[in-house]
Amino acid sequence: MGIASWSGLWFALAIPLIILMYLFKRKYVDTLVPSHMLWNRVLRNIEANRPWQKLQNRLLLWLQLLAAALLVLALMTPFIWVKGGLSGHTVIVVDASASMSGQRKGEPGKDTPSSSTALDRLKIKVHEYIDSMGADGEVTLLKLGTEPEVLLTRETDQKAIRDQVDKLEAKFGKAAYRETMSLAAAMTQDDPDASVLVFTDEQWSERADDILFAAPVEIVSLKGEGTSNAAVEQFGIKNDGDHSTGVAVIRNYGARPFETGLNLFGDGQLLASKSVKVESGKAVTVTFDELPASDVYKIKLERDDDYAADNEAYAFREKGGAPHVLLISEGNLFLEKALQLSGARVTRMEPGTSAPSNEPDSEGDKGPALPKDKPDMIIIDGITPAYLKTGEWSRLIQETPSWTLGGDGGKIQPDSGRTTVANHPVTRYISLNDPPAAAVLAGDMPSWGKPLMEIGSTPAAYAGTENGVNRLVFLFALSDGDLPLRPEFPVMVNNAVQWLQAGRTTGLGRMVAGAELEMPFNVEAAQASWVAADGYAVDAGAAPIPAAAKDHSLAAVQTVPPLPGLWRFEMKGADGSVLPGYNLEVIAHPSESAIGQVKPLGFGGGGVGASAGGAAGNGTGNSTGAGQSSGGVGPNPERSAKHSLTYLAALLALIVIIAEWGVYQRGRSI
Amino acid sequence: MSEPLLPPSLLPRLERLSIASKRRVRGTMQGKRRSSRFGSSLEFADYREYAPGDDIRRFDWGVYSRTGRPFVRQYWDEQELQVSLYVDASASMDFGGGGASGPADGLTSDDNKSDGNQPGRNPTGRNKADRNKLIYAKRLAASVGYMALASYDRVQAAVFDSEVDRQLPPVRGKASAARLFSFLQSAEPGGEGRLSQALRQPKALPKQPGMTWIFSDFWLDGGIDELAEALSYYLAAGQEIVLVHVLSPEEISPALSGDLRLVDSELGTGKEIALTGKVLEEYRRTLQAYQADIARFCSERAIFYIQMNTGVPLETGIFETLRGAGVLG
Repeated sequence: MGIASWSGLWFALAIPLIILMYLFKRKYVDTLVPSHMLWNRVLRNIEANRPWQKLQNRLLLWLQLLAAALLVLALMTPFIWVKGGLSGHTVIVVDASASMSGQRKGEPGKDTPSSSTALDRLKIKVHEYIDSMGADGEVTLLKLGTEPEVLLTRETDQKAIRDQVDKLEAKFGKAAYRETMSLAAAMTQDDPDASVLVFTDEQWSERADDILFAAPVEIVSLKGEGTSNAAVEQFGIKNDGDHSTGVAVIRNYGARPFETGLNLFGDGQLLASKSVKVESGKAVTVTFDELPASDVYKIKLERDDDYAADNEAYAFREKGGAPHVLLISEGNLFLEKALQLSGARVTRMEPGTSAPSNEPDSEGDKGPALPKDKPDMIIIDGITPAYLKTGEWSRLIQETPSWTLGGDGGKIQPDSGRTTVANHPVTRYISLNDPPAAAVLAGDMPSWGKPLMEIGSTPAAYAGTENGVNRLVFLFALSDGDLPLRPEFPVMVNNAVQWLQAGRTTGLGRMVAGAELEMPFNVEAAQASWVAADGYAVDAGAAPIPAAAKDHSLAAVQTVPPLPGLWRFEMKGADGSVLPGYNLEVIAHPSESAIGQVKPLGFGGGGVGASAGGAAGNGTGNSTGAGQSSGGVGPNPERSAKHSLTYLAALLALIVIIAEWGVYQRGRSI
Repeated sequence: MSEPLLPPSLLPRLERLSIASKRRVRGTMQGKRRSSRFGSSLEFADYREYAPGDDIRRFDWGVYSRTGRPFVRQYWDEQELQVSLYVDASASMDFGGGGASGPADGLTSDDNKSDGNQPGRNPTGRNKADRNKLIYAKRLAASVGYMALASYDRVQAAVFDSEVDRQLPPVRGKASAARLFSFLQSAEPGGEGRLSQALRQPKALPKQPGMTWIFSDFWLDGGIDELAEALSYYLAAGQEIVLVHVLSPEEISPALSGDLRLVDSELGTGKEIALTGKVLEEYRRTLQAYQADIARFCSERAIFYIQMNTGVPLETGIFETLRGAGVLG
């Protein structure tokens, strides 16, 4: 047994009240009369007329009957259907996924602007619902975004709810459909008065029908009819010497064939145009050849569709040509040859000797001067020279991908001979059955490192990204083993060069909005911000977003801006000097592009059927919304809600009991 | 020494009245009532042919001298009327005169005792006790008895509640008035009134035909039936019956209101009742219906039925109500 509502305890006040009344109850006054004979006859006459006359003159009796009836009524928990009232606890789930930013055609015959987005219509519909909110209605506002977000909890103030609804904006990241609905189910689990109201366009990429709801769920569909959407599904640029080749995949999610022109821009200049026609539900691959070199390529659909966030895509040119490798080594023929085989241009520098530049060596302690051309990667074979750890060399090392082979320090003998190779781009096509070296350097693996090779349980090599810069560390010198003699060695060197070279693009790549990204900060960067550079974000008027800071310095992991488009991460040094930034393409989650391919939503649990029954009328609130005429279908303002009369009945009973007191006091019947 | 039940000033006026019996009475002793028999009074009745053995004092010599035929004069016999007075002294009779303090005060012993012992401390005034039904009934009975005694009628009296408590044997002559008065005065209220049971007792029934006065409030459990049963005995006993229904103003129109527990003065039982105007109206209607029932019953059997309100002064009651009813002449 449990108590659902302690608020009913208020009516226990009736108990002392009744006792009080009996304390003050006026008794029948004894009055002597000569005989009862006539009085008997009087009463008999009165009562004999009609059987119920005996009850007629007893006001107290009627009051007590009324009180009892009201109490019985209160126990029966009566309710009335209130038109359009949101009563009880309503969990309103507002879908703020990316697809809600899509344009919807206006409802014919209604004043809805023809170009409003689904989110705009959602706000209107939610406002309509809040207008009809009952006095005892409580609203919990749950936002379905990249993660479930409880905006308001059991709010009764309509203005507060409106403010929150008006502030809603679409989230372009991966929408947390299941998580949000699970949260809504959990919120309404033990609440018999609760109901769930989902405002959505029903374009869900995840199934949610296995989430069991105890409360009735009503879906207010905002899906558009005849929406068209074509998306640039993929876009990439391949460098072939001076010229590049662009490849784009265009997919049509709409119900009708989509014909459009494709414009390819390079650094803002129109480079090529093509016309493409995509059948419904199909994808077409378009290739652009002979593209001039540019840093940022952009492809854009010429024709607008209903969902703008996926109409353009960006690609960043990889830095062309062979990688420039600075090899700091006392000489290793195998390594040099292998590097040359991989296509790298190798500049070897003796450790402790002057730089391979023409500048004279000024001070031996400071090491040689920096190379004129900044190397694409640095390979340190053997013991690291001391000058690499200070001054300009240190900065160069920090900014440049590096491969360290061996070094100084204590060596340990691995306990077991078994060598395991991790799955990593560097170790692709490599199978090392025998240990590459008999002894490895002892030393802790840094936090960014992931083991590549292990002899027994001792790591022999690791790789990772430190501050956005790839690092490869072999804990043994090549001369310590027979690795260079093995046939896999050139392959491994090639892999290593490719991997260290990776990310040498002009941009950081492509990320889904709201995701987290490990940022290759410039060491001098003191402040940074995301600035919208092109595309949807610029069209939407996105303001610059300051980079996240942690412990008074820029956080290594930054959140990708929430709007799709081309963003630029601009950094400034402590002295205000502008440092080179990065480009990042932010995209909406691809699953949100499937506008128009709606599967009817359904939720598990007994509450769903109730919602269908509760939404009498035109059936808009029905969860089986597949056959509905959509478009402008929204919540039915005429829908009825249960309004409990329990408290009213109990209150009336209390009033009647108080009225009885007056009768006691008066000592009179009717 | 007790004060007289009746004010002395009333007695001469009463002497001038007599009980008007509609019948010719047959008594055993000489009285002032014309008997149904011929007798020796001064009132001439008839002539009759002389028969041997007749009293020659009544021989009419005048007729004999004119006609030569012997006739004797016959005179009506004048005999006494036997008047039986029955006074109900049940507890319910001890009501009336409660004033504003309510009818219950009638039972308070102080009032009661003083009323019984010193009735009419101020007999001419209208004090509380004057409205008491028992006192009023006793005074009425005394008045009637005095009238009868003054008319040389024979008067006997009885006080009853559930049975006849005490009886006054028949007395004659004005000299016996004091005896009658003291008998009546000593009647104390109390007990449950059962008129039928009390009056049907053999000792209560008058031996001679005559006139029976019953002073009571007639609050009978059996109602009119019980009354009819008792009266049939008296009718059969050749009694000319006069019912005097003595009611106090509090009973005729009770000034009660609120939720009351009405306690029966005789039975002691209570009855909870919410008194409203509607109920009081119904009470008055019921009372009228009850009195009408008794009146109808009485008129069917040539019984006098007189309603007396103790709120009315005694003299008015005697000289107007009783005389107006035709029982006094």
